[in-house]
Amino acid sequence: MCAAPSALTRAGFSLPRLARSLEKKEPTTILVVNSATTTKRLTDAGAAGSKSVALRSFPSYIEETLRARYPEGGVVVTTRSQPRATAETIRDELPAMLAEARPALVIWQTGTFDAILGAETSIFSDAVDTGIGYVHDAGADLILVSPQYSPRTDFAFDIGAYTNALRWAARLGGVPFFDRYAIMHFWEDEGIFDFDTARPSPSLFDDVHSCIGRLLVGMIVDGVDLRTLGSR
Amino acid sequence: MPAPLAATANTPVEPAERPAPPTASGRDLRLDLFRGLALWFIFLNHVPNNVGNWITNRNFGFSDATEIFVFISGYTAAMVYGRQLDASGVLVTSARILRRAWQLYVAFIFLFVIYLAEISYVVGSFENPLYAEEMGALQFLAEPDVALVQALLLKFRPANMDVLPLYIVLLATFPPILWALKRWADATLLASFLLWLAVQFLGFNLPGYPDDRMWFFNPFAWQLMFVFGGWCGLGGSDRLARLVHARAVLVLSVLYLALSLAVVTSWYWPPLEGLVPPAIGDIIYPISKTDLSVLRFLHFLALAVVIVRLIPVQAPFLRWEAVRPLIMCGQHSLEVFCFGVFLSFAAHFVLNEVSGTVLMQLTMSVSGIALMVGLSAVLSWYARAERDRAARKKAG
Repeated sequence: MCAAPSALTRAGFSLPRLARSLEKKEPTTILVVNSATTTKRLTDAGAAGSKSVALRSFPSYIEETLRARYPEGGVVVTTRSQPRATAETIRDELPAMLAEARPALVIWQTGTFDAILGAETSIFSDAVDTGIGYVHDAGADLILVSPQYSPRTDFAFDIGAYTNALRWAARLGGVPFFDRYAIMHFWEDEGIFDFDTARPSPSLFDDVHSCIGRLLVGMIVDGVDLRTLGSR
Repeated sequence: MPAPLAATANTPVEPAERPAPPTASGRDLRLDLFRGLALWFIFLNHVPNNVGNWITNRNFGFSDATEIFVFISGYTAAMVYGRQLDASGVLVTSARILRRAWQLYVAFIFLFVIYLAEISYVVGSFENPLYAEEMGALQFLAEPDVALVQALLLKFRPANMDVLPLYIVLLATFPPILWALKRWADATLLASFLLWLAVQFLGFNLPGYPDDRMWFFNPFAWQLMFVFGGWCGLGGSDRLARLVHARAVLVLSVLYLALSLAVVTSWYWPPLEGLVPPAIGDIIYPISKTDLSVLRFLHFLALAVVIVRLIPVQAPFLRWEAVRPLIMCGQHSLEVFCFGVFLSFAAHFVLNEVSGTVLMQLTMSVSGIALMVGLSAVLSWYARAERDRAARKKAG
C-alpha cells in the first residue's frame, strides 16, 4: 500500500551526524517540526463518534519503526507542532528549538502556511536556506518535507511553487527532500488513496500517516547507510 | 477598415474623426496584440497543474504577462483619455476614468462572489481530518461579515484575482496623474520612479486580509509600470525611438534576455543547476514580483526593445486573419480579463472534479482561450452595431 517510486523515497544525500549518533548507540533525538493541527481536533471527533478513534500522525510512526530498527541506544522523536507558522517564523524559532532538543536529525515540514498566506516564494526559500544553515550549525542533519497534496484546496492556494522552492533549497543545501506532495499525488494517480472524495474512509488519516512515517524511515535509513558506505 | 475603431476604454460612441495616431492605419495593433497575448497567458498561468502554462513567458525570463498587461493598459489609457482630455476637458475625462474604475470594481465583486461559491462548496461538502490545516485556512467563511467587508475594501483578494484590485487602484488614481502627465510628462515619470525607488528601500505596501497578508501586487511599486506606459502613450515612446533603435541598446537587451533565460531555466532544469553563483544570487534574489523588482522591470524593457525592433508597426502579419483573435481579445481587455479569471476557476474545477489528465489540461486551455476569443468577437460585433446605429442617427 505504501509503495512510491524510488526516485521519491531515496535520500540522495547522506545523514552523517545521525549515522554517527546511531553507531555510537547513544540516545538519539529526532526533532520533527511540523504544522499538524490534528491533535486538537481529536477530541471533537471523539465526542461526535461513539468511540474515540485516536489519530496518529506520521512522527509517532517514525519513532516506532526506528526503535524497532535501531533497538540499542534508543531513538526519541520530539515533535514541535506549529500550525499557522511560516518558514520565516520557524526559522527564527529554530535556534531555540535546537538548543533545547539537541537532535541528531531534524525533520522539517514547511510550506503549507506560506502557501495559504501567499508568501513570496523567494522569501520562503531564503528562510529555508537559513534554517538549513542553523540545523547544520547545531550539528544535526535535516530532512525537508513538503506540504501535502490537497486537491480540494489548491484552487485557493497553489502549493506547487513552494514545493519547487523546497526541492531547490534541499538540493543546494545538500539535504534529503521528502516530497510528500509528489508521493501523495502519485497515490492519488495510482488509485491507492482517494484524497478527493467527499466521504473519506475512516482509516484514511491513519493509513496515509503511517505510510508517510514508514517511507520517511526508509529515507532516513537510506541516508544513514549512504554515509556508512562512503566511510568504508 | 479591418480593425474596429472602438478603443479599449469605455466610450461606446467614438467620435469619427480622431487625431491621427503614429501610424496611418489607426491604432497601433501591436498594443492590442500583446495585450491579448498577455490575457491568454494570465489565463493559462491561473489554471494550476496545467501543462498549458509551460508556453507562457514567465518560464523564459524574469518578467511575466502582468508587466505587459499593466504597461499596455497605462499606454492605452493615457492615449485614449489624453485625447479626451483635450477634447472634453479635465472634469468630464476624470469622470469617465472613474466610471471605468467603478466598472472594474463591480467586476471584481462579481468574480469574488463566484469564488466564494466555490469555496463554500468545498468547505461545506468535505470533511477530511487529513486536511484539517488546509481547510482551516478557508474557515474565514465562518465570519462572512468580515470577509465580505474586507473584499469590498479590496483587502481580501483571493488567489488569481490580484491583478484586478491593482488595476482598480491604478485607474482610480489616474485622473490627477494623467493631468500631470499632460503638463509635466518627465517630472511625473520621475516622481513615479522615485515612489517606486522608495518602495524598494522602505518596502511599504497596502495591508490585506486574512492574517497579515499584504497586497500581492504592491500598487506603490507597480504604478511605475502604469505611469511609464502612460508616459510612452503620450508621445514618450516617440522620443525614445532613437534610443530604442540604437544598436548598443539592442545588443544589451538581447544579452540581458539571454542571461535571464538562462537563470530562469536553472530554476527548473537540473543540468543548469548552480549556474547562478551564490555571491551573485545573494545580490539578485529575491526577485520580487510584489514590489516589481528592478530585474523584472529591466527584463520587460529589454523585451519591449526587442519586440519593437522585430515587429514594426506596419508589420503585414498584424493584419492576418490568424492574429485577429489575439487583437480582438486585447481590444476588450476588461471583459476578457474578468472572463479569463472566471474560466480559470471553471477549468480548475473541471480538472479536479472530472479528470486532470494532460489531455484534459490541454482541452481546458484551448477551450478557455476559444471562449475568450468568442466573447471578444461578440463584443466587437456589438460595438460595431452600436457605432453603425449612432452613425445612422447622426446622418439621418
